[in-house]
Amino acid sequence: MNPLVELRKVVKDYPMGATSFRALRGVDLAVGEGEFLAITGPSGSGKSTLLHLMGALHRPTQGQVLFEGQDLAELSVDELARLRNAKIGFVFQQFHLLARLTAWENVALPMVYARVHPAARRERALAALARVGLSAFAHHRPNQLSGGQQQRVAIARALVNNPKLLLADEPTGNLDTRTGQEIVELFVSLHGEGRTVVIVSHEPEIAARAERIVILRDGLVQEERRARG
Amino acid sequence: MRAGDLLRTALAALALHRLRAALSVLGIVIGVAAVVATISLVSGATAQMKARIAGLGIRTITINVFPTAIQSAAAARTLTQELTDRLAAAEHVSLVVPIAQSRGSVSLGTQSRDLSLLGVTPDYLHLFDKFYPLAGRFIHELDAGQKIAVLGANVARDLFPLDDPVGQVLTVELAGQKVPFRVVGVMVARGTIGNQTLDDYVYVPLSTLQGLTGSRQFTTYIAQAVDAESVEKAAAAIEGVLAATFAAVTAQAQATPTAVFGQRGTAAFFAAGRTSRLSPYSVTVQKAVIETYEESVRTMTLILGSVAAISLLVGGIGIMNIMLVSVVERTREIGIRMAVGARRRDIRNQFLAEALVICLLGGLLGLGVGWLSAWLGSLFGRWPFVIRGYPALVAVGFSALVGLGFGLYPAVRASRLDPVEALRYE
Repeated sequence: MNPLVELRKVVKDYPMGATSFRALRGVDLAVGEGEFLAITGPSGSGKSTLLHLMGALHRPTQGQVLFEGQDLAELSVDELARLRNAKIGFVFQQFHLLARLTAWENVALPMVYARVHPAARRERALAALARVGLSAFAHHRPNQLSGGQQQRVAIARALVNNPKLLLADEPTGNLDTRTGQEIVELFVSLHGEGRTVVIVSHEPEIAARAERIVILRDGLVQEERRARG
Repeated sequence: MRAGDLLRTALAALALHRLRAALSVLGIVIGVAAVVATISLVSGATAQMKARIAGLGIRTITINVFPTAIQSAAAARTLTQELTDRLAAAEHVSLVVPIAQSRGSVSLGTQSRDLSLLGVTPDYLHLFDKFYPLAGRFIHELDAGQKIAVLGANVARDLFPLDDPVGQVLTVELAGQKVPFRVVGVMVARGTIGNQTLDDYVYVPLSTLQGLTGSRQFTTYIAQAVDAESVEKAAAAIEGVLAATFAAVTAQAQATPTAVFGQRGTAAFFAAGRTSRLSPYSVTVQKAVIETYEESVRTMTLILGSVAAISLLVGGIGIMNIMLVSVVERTREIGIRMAVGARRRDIRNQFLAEALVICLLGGLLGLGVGWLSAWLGSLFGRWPFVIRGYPALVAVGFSALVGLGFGLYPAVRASRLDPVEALRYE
């Protein structure tokens, strides 16, 4: 498998007043095309930071992040935005939907920045909502939806520009166990369609659904193992 | 981001906080309305004043000779004739028309009317464009001393609503005397300058009026320079003539320190009013009055305009304030948009579009409110309502500029947010 994303000796510092906090301390990791990877580890181990670096939301303090072989350090802020728009779909723990938009309008948001013609957006958004099983709720606003439904809208939004990489940061963290399981199964089936999926989760049952598990501790990869096989 | 998306997003965001948006718009409305109303009102008032001042033309030089200089009715007549001839002979002067004005009344049967009698010479007709007798004729050289009258359009209409006035006899009451006058002509309507109608006059031969009113007759001479450029030279020549004519009186008057002579323009104009008992004459150059007036109007426009512009500035600061609040409130939204692919300029443009919509809306409403208040002001002040294109452009352009200027900082701040930190913002 060709690596879709590759991290080489990645260090990430966060400024903390006068000093800084080192969240990642030299991580090497490659995510193959079509792979389903889970990143797990205790709080503060650097899981989310790793995901943000893979998703071109952050730049590393040291080391390289390569997306399809392209060093992200060579891209401008706007080029990173375009990369996120076209090739990466994010799913967050807090869903991060815009409260004043309906479900389908939220799903259509990435297409606004892809300059998709307004007439084509609705159809594509509705198709994405159908994929996550929410066709009936296209005109509901987030506050009219349950947590699981909101997360499905967020997944539809992540899918709508047909990205290569799907990144999910604790996607079940705000959901009850059963709903969480449904969401995980959704990721499993999306992976089954050929998508590359990376999930960050501290729940072992969730991580166990991935092909490969990477365990972080104190900003370093502590252990890597195959899961489902 | 497409322009349509920008506008839709901006409108949706503003619709979410209607009251806040409305108050921001109001700030701009007040500012723009103040600017537009100021410009429009000043333009109207200026147009009126200029028309009034320039009614006699820019080449006009007004000479006032005060009654103290004249000893008797006979002397007045002699002086008027001599002075007119001498002034007309002065260099750069093309025409001199003496005018005397008296309040009096005119009656016909039971109808009576108070009005101004103008004692003029035949040349009076040449001072104005489009001024000619509609019926009969104007005053002629041979009318000197004759009791004949030419009626202004309003007077003719009021006293002779049905009949032809020419040939009729009116009774003129003037200086305690009742004198019959024969109507020889009716003038064309001249309309009004501001709230002053020019059609309420009865024109009589100057010598006739002077004979009736006696020596204490304030006489005005209106001189015209050969062209606009030689007005100053003509005025100087006229002063020379006047100084020679009134040498004796001038010498007396010059002994008193408050006397003002030989000054032209507004100084003489106003000084003459104050010191008329001492000054035998004053010379006023129309052009100088207009220039002085324009100068003061420019200053006034600048001062009022600055005050109005400051209110627009305050409106702009209000927008900046509200946009900064909006950026902070929507930090997470900005993070979300960035995460799904918004570039910095998309975020910046989104917030700029909001500020622009507020300002343009405020600008257009302000233009309407400004014009409305200028119109009301013109009704109140009885000056013409002047709508000019440029204040509209200035207002809308300026409010757009305010939107861009004061919206830029919050918008750029929004666009510089770090997506991850923005997403974490509670």
